[in-house]
Amino acid sequence: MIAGVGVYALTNHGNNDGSTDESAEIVVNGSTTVAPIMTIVKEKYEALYSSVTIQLNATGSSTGAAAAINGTADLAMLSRDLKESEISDGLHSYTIGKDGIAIIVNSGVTDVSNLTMQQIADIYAGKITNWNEVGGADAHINLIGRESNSGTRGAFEELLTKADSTFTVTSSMIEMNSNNALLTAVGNTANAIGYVSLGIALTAGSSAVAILDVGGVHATVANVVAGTYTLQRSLNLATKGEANGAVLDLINWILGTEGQKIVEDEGYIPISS
Amino acid sequence: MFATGQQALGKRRSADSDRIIGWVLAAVASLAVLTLVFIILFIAENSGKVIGEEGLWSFITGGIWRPYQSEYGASSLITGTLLVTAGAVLFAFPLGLGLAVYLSEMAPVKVRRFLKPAVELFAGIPSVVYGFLGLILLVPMLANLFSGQTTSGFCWLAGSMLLGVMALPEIVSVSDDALRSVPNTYREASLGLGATKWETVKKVIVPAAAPGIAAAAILGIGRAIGETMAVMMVTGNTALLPEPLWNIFATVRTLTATIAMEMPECVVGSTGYSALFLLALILMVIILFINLAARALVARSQRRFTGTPAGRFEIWYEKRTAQFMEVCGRHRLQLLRQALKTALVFVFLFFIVSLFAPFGEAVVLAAIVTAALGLLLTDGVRRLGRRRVQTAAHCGMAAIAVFVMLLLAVIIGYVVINGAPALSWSFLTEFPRAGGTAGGIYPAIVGTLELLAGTALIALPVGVLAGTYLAEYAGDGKISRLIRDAVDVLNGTPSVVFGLFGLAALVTWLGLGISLLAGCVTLALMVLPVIIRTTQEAVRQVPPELREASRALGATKAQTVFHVVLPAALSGIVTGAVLSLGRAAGETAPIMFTATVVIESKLGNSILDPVMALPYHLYYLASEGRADPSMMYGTALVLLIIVLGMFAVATAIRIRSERRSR
Repeated sequence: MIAGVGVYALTNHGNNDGSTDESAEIVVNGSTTVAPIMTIVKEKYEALYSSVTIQLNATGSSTGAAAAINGTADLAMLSRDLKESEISDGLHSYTIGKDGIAIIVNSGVTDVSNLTMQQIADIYAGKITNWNEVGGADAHINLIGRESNSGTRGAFEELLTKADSTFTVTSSMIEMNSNNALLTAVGNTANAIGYVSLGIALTAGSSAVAILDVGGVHATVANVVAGTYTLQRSLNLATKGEANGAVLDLINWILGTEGQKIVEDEGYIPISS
Repeated sequence: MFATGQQALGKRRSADSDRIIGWVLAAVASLAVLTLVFIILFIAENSGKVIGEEGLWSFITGGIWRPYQSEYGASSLITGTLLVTAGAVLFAFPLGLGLAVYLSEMAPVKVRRFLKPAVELFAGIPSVVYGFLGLILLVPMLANLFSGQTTSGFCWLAGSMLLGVMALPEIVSVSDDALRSVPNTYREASLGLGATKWETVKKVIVPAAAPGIAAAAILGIGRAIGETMAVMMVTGNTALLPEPLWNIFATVRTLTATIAMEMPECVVGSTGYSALFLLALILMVIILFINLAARALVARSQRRFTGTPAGRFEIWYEKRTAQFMEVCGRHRLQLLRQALKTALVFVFLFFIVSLFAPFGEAVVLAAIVTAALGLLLTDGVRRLGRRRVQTAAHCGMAAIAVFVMLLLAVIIGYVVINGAPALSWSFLTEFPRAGGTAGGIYPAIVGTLELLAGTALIALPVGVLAGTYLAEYAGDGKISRLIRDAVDVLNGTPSVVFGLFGLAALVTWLGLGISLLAGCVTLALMVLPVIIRTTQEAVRQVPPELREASRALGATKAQTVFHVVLPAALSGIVTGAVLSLGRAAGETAPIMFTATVVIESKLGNSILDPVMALPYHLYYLASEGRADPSMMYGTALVLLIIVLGMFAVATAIRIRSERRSR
């Protein structure tokens, strides 16, 4: 029965693959961090060019990359840089914006408003376990981070390793699987610290968490652009081979003024600046 | 309807059609089973790479799980899964069985009619909502209550409680059906002998319904062990062994959480990817062992009722106990059993108390509580008198019912209070705007309804026919048992694995693309095990007298099955179908890879177009969305209302069929 349905589907599928001339369907898949940008891009772009349809999925950076490699997607969204294996499978990446990583604490942590990179590294390595070691009250630090494959975590730990070459993260860190889940966890857990996409932290405007300064620098878009706030990473799009046709048009539009405005509105850092 | 037996020709024709129907059923059953076997092979094949590189044994026993440093040691994940599941069952099984006993044996009809669908409602709450409730309510509550034991509140206990609640509907509904299918003659005979209602329940009805109750427990364990989205919100997900091992306040990480968390960002085809499939395979083996153990237990309790011969192990066991009894005498054996039970209770209590108090105090405290419990239960019961015990039991069961209803009220109340402000006509009828932060959820509602209808259309006929074949035609042989194992194992497979199977087999290999059709088939595969299993159980519970009477009247086997057995089993089948579809309605992982898009600006016009769906929309808003939470809870509320509507229809069907059969 299933096979029968499959045959029917195959014969019908031809219409769907998309002829490029008049109407184009661009299938986009990948990172949930980049997806908020693409949802707005889709809305605006489809309104501008009625012949283009953007089909948007968000199942994660790597499934997006895999989809682009095997041809089920035209464009992959990644919240990290391409891996070696993905480059050798023929993916080309286009950086469309940057994202800072904000260090957030539960709003009950009032005596600490700034941490150095070394302090952050020591906290996440499990060497500092009490807030009083960094000038706060006598309370155990509830350490929260992202799951091991997260793009945010990858970038975060890479930066900590740059600050302290001996850094390895402690196994007793509590792991959450998305920016919002982490934000909620830190907001609901006393004495908690975590890190989250700056875009999310700024647009969420949650009163349950406070954003810390890092090395005396405020976590703001301006400081990320200026390069003084060092916790940042790139947001990418990727195609198999060089982009062309309707897909290239779309990428160029995102890299243009209107597209970059959307990147900025979503709390991320535009590439042009 | 029935063959009158007057015309030889008519009889032969019906015998022919009987045989054909048998073949058709066999074909459907084997197709369903083959697909399920195919999924197991798919998982096994994908886990090959990591076994080749790391070795199976070092993978299972290794202590460090750091996939980003190519360290794959799963022992802490396996332990985490076992601990959280054990805790969930300890929490949910007594509660569920108590509630089922109350529903089936004690509750007035009106209470029952309200209570049963209410319990099923638990199954319709999306796991994302459970997860967020756990994160927002349960975790901070535990942190406050047990501030000496846990600093954050993220712990094994929280995971167990959450999963326990999620497993409740399966345990309650399937146990209730099993209890109600115990023939009334048993009750009458027991009461006639002068037993109280409670004694009848304890000594006659529950033992008689043991296989069904075991099936309930297994389905519940399957639900708990395979759950992903909720458990990873509350257990802290540290890949560490608890210290000490029984520390219910330690953070743990389960197999399913690891799979669900790491799969989306894992490079497809890499060693890490393969490692996650091996975790799924390990999960299946665990479930298989649980099943075998449960079945052995049931077989023992069942022999008294059915008179089936004992297995080899049982004969050995009986012989040994008989020998032992001869040596030390009946009285001493009883004493020994009592001592063993006491020791078990003591050890359990000690484990719990030791988390709060130093060693010495813990020993003393546990001893005192054990002694007190022993006195209360043996002497207390004797002194109370049978009538009072009956009353106490009744009150206990009712208290459980009230407790569960309170839980439900809190959960649903939370969703309603937070979601109601978002509800408006435009929310229901408009397309989403500004990345889901404004506008409505119309396409997601349509998509979810389409997905549900498609899933039901595929899974119901296939599942019911396959289950019927297994129960009525296949007998209780080896093959049938093997199939039951395969089905149970798949029931506990994390839904994200079904999603990946759908992605590989349907979306890519069959070329369906990300589409409504691919999503429906994937969801159907996911719910198929539950539908097959509950149908099988419901059909088996139809008393043999009905079949014999039908055959004696000259009806063919097929006529008997379709006109007598299936209608009598309808209530149980509907329960299974409703629970599984309710679960399908709230699932994210199977559809996010196969059917859904983040945002739709116009509805698709064929079954090969992708759709938006409520659970995925909810998941997206909950994980990365910028919308204020009321949009998220509004989406959850709409989903809940849809499931509620579905349950209402099912309840109506069930009440009608119960009225007819009683």
